[in-house]
Amino acid sequence: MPLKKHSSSREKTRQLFDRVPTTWLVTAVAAVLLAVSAVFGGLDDAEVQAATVIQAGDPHAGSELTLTVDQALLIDAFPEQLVIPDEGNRLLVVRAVVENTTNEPRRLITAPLRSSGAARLQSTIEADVLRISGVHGQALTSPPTSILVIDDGSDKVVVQPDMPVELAFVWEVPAAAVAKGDTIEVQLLDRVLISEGELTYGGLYGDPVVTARLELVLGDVGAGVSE
Amino acid sequence: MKGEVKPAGWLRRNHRALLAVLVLLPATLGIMFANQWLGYFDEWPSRPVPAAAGETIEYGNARWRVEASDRVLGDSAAGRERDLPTGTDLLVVTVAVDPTGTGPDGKPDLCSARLEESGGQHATRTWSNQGPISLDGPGPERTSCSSKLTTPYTFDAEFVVPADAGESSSLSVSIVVVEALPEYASLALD
Amino acid sequence: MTASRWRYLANGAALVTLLSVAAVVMHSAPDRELQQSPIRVAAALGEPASGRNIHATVHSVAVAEAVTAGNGWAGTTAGVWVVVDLSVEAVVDDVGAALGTAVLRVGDTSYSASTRPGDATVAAVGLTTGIALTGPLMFELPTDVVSSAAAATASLELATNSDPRVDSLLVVPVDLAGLDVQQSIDVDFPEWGVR
Repeated sequence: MPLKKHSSSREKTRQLFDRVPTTWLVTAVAAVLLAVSAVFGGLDDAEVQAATVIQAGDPHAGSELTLTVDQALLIDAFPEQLVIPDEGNRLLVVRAVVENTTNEPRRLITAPLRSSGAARLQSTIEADVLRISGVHGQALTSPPTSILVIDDGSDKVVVQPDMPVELAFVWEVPAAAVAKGDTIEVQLLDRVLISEGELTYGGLYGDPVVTARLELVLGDVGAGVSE
Repeated sequence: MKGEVKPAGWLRRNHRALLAVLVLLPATLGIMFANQWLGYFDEWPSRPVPAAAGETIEYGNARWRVEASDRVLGDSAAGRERDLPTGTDLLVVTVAVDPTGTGPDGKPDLCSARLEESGGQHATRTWSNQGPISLDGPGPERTSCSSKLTTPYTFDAEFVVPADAGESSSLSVSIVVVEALPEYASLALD
Repeated sequence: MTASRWRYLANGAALVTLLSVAAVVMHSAPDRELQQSPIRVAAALGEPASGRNIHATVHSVAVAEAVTAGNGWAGTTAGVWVVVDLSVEAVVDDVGAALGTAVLRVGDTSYSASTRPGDATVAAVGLTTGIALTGPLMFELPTDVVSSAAAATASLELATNSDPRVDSLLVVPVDLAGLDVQQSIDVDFPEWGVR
């Protein structure tokens, strides 16, 4: 029988490690690493980019479009363009100049309508560029029901590269909810290209995020001025 | 040493496994792709039910026959009345429909008609009924199948075709009833 | 050296060769862009060109500051209008056939045909098999792009689907820089039939 040797401290430690289950060791090491990272701020909340607050008339450059929101006003209808709201509703129009800073044309999408005529909240991947909030009776934030080119009143807007175009973004709102002099908040959205699509045509984008806000005071043009 | 049996070759030793692969590989590939291919062929008209000129055939829930086919030349008086574009003719095909049954919703089936030209110097061409060219003058009363009538009736399918359609080639009208896909009725005009 | 040493060397050499061949094959394999690329058909101004389901002839190209369309539309633009007069038809099938892709490419920027004039341009109308539709296409371009060096080698791309992949794409080279900028142009309403 071998003599029981008087083990050195190094040997004692090694025997201790041999007895401890491996999983415990791994967890302990991970915990130590986390604790060390906490010293450098690793466990703090990630900073969310706050939306900048801008004024009417300031251009705001996004990743694809540069927007300059001018004014917001109320109007009864655009009869020539067949944008006529339901009974009891009026149109809230935000005028903005949109410039495409990419090198492909960009189509601006509006909210598709349900068969009943109410706007259907669409998937946010079909990015819109402006949303309004702070209007009673309107879903918290909703894309416009139509977008018109102010110059000739055409819809189905496609913004060409480097060609600024003045647009009217139109929302249908209950007449009782808004009046001249009310303040509404307009949110400017931006989306980021994730990658080129593998099977789909065109890029894949992340959800749009609000990158700027501005407050506008509503004007009222009654039945409308001929533009 | 002499007298030893030669050990069996690789093929002999593995022949069962090789046979299994020979059977299973095509079977696996077939099962993988059969679903998609069957679905593809089921969804577009790919099995014609042919009919010679004037013949009545049974397709879907009705009996079909080409009663008449009129060609209005672009430069004739009737053609000018309808304001046909230069170099085109109007082909009006009268199809007699005798609904024998109803679709799953209890109403007679709706259909879509197309004109098909095969043979001749062009590749196979097709035209749709009620295309983007709009013509002057009163059109036919009924241009497609009705989902209300259960007694025999006729409809007139109008096709605006180039003036050279049908010369040295054969024309036929394809009728598609969605519920009867992939079968479609191919009624010859001449 | 012994026989086995030679064999080891030979094995190593074979492995290295195989790996390098594999690397070359992997890097030269067609990428997704090449696999899904449209089938380009070179065309010339004034000459007819045919794809699988599109047959078009570009008659003329002009640049103007103002355009009046056949339906009375006269929109303004911050840049200039490039007006293309062309005849286009579908070849085999008219299901869903329209001039879905009508793009003017200058350098690496592309401009799509304007839909602002509504049905006064060919871009919005459906096509018919074998019957040509003759009419204008209008593009809005910045003034400095039209006179830039890249505009001399601009090209017009036409296809029936708005997704031009894996189908015929007619490519017509256009020299925009060599065209004078006119004050205004009147264009006809799109018309059907043989011209």
